[in-house]
Amino acid sequence: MPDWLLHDYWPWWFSAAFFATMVVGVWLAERRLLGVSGSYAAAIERTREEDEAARRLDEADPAAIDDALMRATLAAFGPEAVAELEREQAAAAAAAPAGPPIGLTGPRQAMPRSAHVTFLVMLAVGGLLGALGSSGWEVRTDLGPLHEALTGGGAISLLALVGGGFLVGFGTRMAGGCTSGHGLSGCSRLQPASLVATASFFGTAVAVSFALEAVAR
Amino acid sequence: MADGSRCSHIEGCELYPRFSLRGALRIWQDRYCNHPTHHQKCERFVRSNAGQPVPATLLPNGEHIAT
Ligand code: SF4
Repeated sequence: MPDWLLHDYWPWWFSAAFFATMVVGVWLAERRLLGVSGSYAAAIERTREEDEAARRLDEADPAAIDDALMRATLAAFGPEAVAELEREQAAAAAAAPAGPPIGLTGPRQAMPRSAHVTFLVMLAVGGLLGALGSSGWEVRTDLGPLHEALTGGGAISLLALVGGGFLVGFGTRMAGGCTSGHGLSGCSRLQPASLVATASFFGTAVAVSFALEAVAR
Repeated sequence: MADGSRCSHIEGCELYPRFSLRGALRIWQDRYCNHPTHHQKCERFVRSNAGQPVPATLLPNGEHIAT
């Protein structure tokens, strides 16, 4: 193991290059965005109703899905909206006849639950390997001296962590993504909602950590 | 949340990978996903925020794609 990896945390430039490679690599290979909370939701919360709907679409003939979507679109917006779209598409095709429409990728099947579970398990395994390869691994019920000073340690520390976890889950759900979905995948594609979400949660984290440090002193 | 931008669920919404090659999706995107306020009325958006199931066949107006 090289010396520069044997620290409490991996060097920022190594982690940054690693994350960038993963996010861009998955996008290029799979045309999917990496998102931990999305995978968690898909693995844990997917209901029978959702499984059934995904299975019906996976098994349906693509032409039948096209027809069904077009019927639903006509029913919702009327023939004029569809005619207008067709005019736009014909004009775009005449202007650039070669290649697929810009920004469109092929339809894909939903990732099975097992793929989401594997991704989540591998996150934990990767974290464990990273810890074993650098500062070592230990079970802790606090987030370090500052957290312990604020909570008093023991069961209260643990409860604070669990409560914090619930709040993170709640916020993630409200914002439609987390540090990986918005922070890595969304920001790397300059999505405005992701830039706002990431600025909000990182800004809040910095402000809260300064405030807690001031309280703990 | 009236944030004046497009839907914040676009990155993870299953409607996109499912139907991105199908031209008609553009109409739904214009009327809901990319609209500054109408996305808040999207049934997928509302259900997701309420923690309810969001089947892949569900369209923004609450109808299902009948396969
Ligand atoms: S379909 Fe609804 S939830 Fe999905 S991106 Fe569009 S507006 Fe958002």
